[in-house]
Amino acid sequence: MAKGRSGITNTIRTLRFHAGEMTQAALAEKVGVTRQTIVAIEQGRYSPSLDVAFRIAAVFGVPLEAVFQWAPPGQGEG
Amino acid sequence: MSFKEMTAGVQIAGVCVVGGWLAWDWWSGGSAGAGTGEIAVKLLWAVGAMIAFNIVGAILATIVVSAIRREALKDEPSDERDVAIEARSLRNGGIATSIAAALALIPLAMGADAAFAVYALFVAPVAGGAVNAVFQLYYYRTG
Repeated sequence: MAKGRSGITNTIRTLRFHAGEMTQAALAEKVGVTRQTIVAIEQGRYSPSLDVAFRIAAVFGVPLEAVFQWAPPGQGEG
Repeated sequence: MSFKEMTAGVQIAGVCVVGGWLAWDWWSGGSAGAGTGEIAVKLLWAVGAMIAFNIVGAILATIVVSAIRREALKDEPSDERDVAIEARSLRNGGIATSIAAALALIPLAMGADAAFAVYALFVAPVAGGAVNAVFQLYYYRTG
């Protein structure tokens, strides 16, 4: 699970695995962004807009909270 | 490496090459005693050289990167992350241009030769462009 600096984590890598090892390029094409953007989101380096976040969730057919999670800074660390 | 990162890298290389040539020319006295007109002509050649370097450099870099990756390196349509990175790096480039232009006024206020103003007119936007390219590379790596 990738965790960004903003406390946002995501399960895109897992969801891609369960979607028949969908490639980052295939996901990028379905979402309508570049592969580099998917890589950055997956690694937690970039927090997408709500629009892109919903489109990623729609590709996997899951609710938004199944893709992105947020925890207040400091929580869940140690 | 994306096409946009490669373009930024070529732009930085172009600034280094042309800037190096101008610095070498300056230190070797190539502009000694030259009027503002002559210096402006030289800097116009430098602008042309930078444009040519960017075009040729981008073509060559595309060929080399494509050959190494065995996959054509193509420019992709910009998405929201590209737009955000471009906005942030452009802002930094604009700040650098403003600072360079403002700092150039100091020696002029202290009585520096008018030829210096011609150099400042060239250096300030080029420095801004270089800062823009550097921050593009930085933001693509970090954000």
